[in-house]
Amino acid sequence: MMRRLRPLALLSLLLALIDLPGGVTPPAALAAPAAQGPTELTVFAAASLTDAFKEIGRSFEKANPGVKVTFNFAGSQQLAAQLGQGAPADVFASANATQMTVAATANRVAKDVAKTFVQNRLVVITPQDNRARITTLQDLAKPGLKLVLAAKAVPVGQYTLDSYPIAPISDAKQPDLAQKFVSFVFVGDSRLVLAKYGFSLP
Amino acid sequence: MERTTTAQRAEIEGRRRPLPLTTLGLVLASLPMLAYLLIPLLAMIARVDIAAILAQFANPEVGQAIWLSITTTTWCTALALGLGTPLAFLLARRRFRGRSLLDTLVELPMVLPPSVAGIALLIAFGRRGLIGASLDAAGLQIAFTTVAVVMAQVFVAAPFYIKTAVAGFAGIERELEQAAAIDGASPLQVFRLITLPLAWPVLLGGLVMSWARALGEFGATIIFAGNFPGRTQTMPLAIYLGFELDLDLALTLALILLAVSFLVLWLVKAILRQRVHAP
Repeated sequence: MMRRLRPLALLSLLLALIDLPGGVTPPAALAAPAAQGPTELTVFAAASLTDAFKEIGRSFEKANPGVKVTFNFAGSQQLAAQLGQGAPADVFASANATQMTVAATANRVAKDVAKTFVQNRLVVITPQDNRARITTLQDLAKPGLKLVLAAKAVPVGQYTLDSYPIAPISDAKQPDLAQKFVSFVFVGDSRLVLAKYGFSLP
Repeated sequence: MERTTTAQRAEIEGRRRPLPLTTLGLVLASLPMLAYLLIPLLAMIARVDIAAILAQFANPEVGQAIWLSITTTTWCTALALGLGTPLAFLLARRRFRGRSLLDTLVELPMVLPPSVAGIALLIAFGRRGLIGASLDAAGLQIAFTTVAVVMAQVFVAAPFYIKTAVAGFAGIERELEQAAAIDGASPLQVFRLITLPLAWPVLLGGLVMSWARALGEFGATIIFAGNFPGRTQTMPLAIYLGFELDLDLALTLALILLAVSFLVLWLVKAILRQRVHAP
């Protein structure tokens, strides 16, 4: 009988060995982390900003010793939905104005506080041999052309040169740091990083 | 009884001696599905170079994501087993009004798009949620923690185990349980000594299936738990961010996930085989 139940015993042994890292966090631990360990700044950012913001985050940590920037990268729609449901955050960087409005409607971002820091650049990509001989924007109207467009709900799908707004969260745990981070995104070095990853600066 | 089954088995095995021609036909008929399932995996392997995989193992974020995936899915599997088994037994063994309704309700999370499941969990357990609001008042926040990762996995993966377990419990010969009960075993003893051991191979199969589903879980996790490295960023979430960086990185991470899953599945099957061959 013991032999039959061995996988069960194996599983419980495994569980005994495993301790979930950072399980349910009581807010008290988040409210007063300055006593020991770094102060955590939580930044919700659009997934397309991943590499640029990771780099900017590292420079921000260097410029502000004792601060640890934690990112939550996901689609802007998802981030706005999370903020609407009370997700704890300090800064929100969206890939479009619409989702920033969603966060503002949920009272997580003060109205008119969001500032545009970069814009998307729309590009037309043709196959290397360019058999359809596309050279101007008008050529896209040629009949028989297979044109792939971004989905309408995705920021790029909305034709306009969409802007990326950034704003501190109104009930941020680290309001001063949040404001500092937002300003940091606008300084020269951060601009260079953003430009390096293909964003156009307004 | 024992003699008949042995005799029957011998007869079937005799009849089942493989005829070369039918075997050939069977192999040919199996090939299209096998090829279809394996070609995309082979395409991935062909594209990724081994050195890149080894380099990614040294990346602390990848290590974190692998470890987080292993720990959370282990918890998910344990919870599916511990909390899903009574429900499966109830559905398999008791006849009551609304049983078939309950049975269908348990299946719903399987058809729900995972991102919808994530939103549902968030509006239930988030800080402004149905239950989450009172939990928050009590100083307990679940969303965006590792616990939320496990909860998202249990929500989408446990039904796979429960459905299999119902079939497993229903397939056991009731006479064996009744015989044990007549011999004086208490209901709990019957369950522990007769039902569970007999159903175990099926239950284990269901557990593996639900573990695999939990390991690939993405949609519900990224919404309910967020994408925090080291805290909620499991392998599928790391792969998603890999796509934002570059395709080859994402493929490399995906291959690592595949390799880990393959090892675990292989190991579980090896344990099962050993158990079957043991006297």
